[in-house]
Amino acid sequence: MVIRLVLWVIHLFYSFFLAILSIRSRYFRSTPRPLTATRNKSPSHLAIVLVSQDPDLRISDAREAFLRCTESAIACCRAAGITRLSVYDRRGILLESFNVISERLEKCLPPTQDQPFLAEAVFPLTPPLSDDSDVSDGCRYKGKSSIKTIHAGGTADRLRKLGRNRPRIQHHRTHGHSSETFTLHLVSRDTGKPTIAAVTDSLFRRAASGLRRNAVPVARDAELFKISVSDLQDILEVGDRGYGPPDLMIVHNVTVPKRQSAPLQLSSFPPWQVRLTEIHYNGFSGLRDRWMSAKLRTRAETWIMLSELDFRRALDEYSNAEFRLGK
Amino acid sequence: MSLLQYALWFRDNAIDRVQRVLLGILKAGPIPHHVAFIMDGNRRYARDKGVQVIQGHTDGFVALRRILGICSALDIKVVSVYAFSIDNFKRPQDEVDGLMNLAEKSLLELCSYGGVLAEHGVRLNTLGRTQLFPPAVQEALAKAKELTKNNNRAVLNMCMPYSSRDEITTAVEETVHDALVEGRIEPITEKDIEDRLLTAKVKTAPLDILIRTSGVKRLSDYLLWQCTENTQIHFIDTYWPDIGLFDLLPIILDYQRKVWSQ
Repeated sequence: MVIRLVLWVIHLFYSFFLAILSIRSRYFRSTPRPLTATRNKSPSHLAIVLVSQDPDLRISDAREAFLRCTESAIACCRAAGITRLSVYDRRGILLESFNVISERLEKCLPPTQDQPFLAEAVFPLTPPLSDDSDVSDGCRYKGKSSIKTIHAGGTADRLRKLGRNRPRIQHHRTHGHSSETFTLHLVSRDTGKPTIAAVTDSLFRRAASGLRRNAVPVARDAELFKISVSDLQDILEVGDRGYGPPDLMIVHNVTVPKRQSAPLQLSSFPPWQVRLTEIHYNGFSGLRDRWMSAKLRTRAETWIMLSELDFRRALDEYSNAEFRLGK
Repeated sequence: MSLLQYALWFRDNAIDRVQRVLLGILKAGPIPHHVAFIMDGNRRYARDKGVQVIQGHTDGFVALRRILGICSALDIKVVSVYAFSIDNFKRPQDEVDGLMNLAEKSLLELCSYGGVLAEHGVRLNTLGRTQLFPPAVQEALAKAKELTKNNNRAVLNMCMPYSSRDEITTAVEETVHDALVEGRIEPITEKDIEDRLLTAKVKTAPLDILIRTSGVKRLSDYLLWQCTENTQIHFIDTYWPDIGLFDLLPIILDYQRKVWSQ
């Protein structure tokens, strides 16, 4: 009993300590450089992970807040010269708002000569056809779409080249609104583990078909199937149907956390793609946000918009990060 | 004993007592079952101290012993550490050779009679492509696992040489293989892959907390499948050889706050 009381006192002091850190985080940190500042390196692909700590979150309430965060992220990316943006929410609320986002994006991007806008829903991945396969259609998964992509701006030629490998890190010399194609991915949990499961299922059915066709006996100790890390990487990341890894991820709480500081959690973001992603997160909620939330009696009614300041801070951190890749 | 020596002894003793009392108090609240560490910063620590890189790794091993003691005192059942990445073989050969020698010596020290694993009843698992190690290290690993196989208070998963993508790819491969052997009809699910991950094979509890030291804010191909759901991830600035209880304290307090708020 006494020990529990002492633990409670320690937590009380810890709360006080977090409150001080929260104030420092909000009001006393150095001002990050402007969006258009020249940095050592900038991400070519940025992901925003929208997280809600509220288990009772209503989708209809969240949709507009998520849309506004997406618009804010697009504006910041365009200003910073980042041409590829993913916006992730676990439940796929943004995926369901694909048409609304397309319309809003079309309004804020300049038209081009032939095809000003290309908005497509990309279905879960199909493994590439093998050289000796006579199955023309492969094993296509006809289920729900797991990722939706909008390409905007640029030229038709540039749009056709999209999906090829690109350098992970760009060194920017000019900034401002880019005339390059801007790509927006709307991503949900389905893009991660369910897609890996669907790919595995496709690989299995293709292998089973091959074994039947070639009348290969199936024995437990036989090497019936092999795949390398690079082959699986090609399926999951490369090409029009792949989802390439973000260089930088900003994890953003859209609702006020129950505590002053909510530890970082990745909210089921696709695990394969997050291998080398730099992660930026500010878990402190401002005192004003918490006060407003308490006043309105429900955290879901106080949305925390993604701010340009957070964005700039994330870019500064990324530009100072060292990438040793195991060496 | 000189006055300075006595003062240092008194200080160390006092710190040790405070830590023990603190650990006892923390245990009164919820404690995570499974904590993983990315032990980063040995080389930068060595550079800052002006010593050889291998000394940084040696001090890192001392830190590992210290953290295992703390985790054992807190009754954390599973500790996983990212001891060596498959990509680490790209490092300069003399550093890799030094790490292999250190691994061979350290494993036997950890697992021998009186070593920290024996002291705290910890069983050792190794997760990774151990066949890539030199024969002497493979032998030390096998011996270490044999020495600790009957320990049952806690588990130490040493991930070496490991990469999460390699783990996931192998799980995909095994899932397809098993499905072909069984003549499976129903679609393959996430659970089929998850059951074939290295952590599942050693029956490890879900990951509650992942901690990376040295200020780097990346996962670097470690436990990617396991840590993207309900795991609290902490990036702390301390270099791994310097890590101690007061680095873990806010992390444990955050975990307790999360459990109480659910």
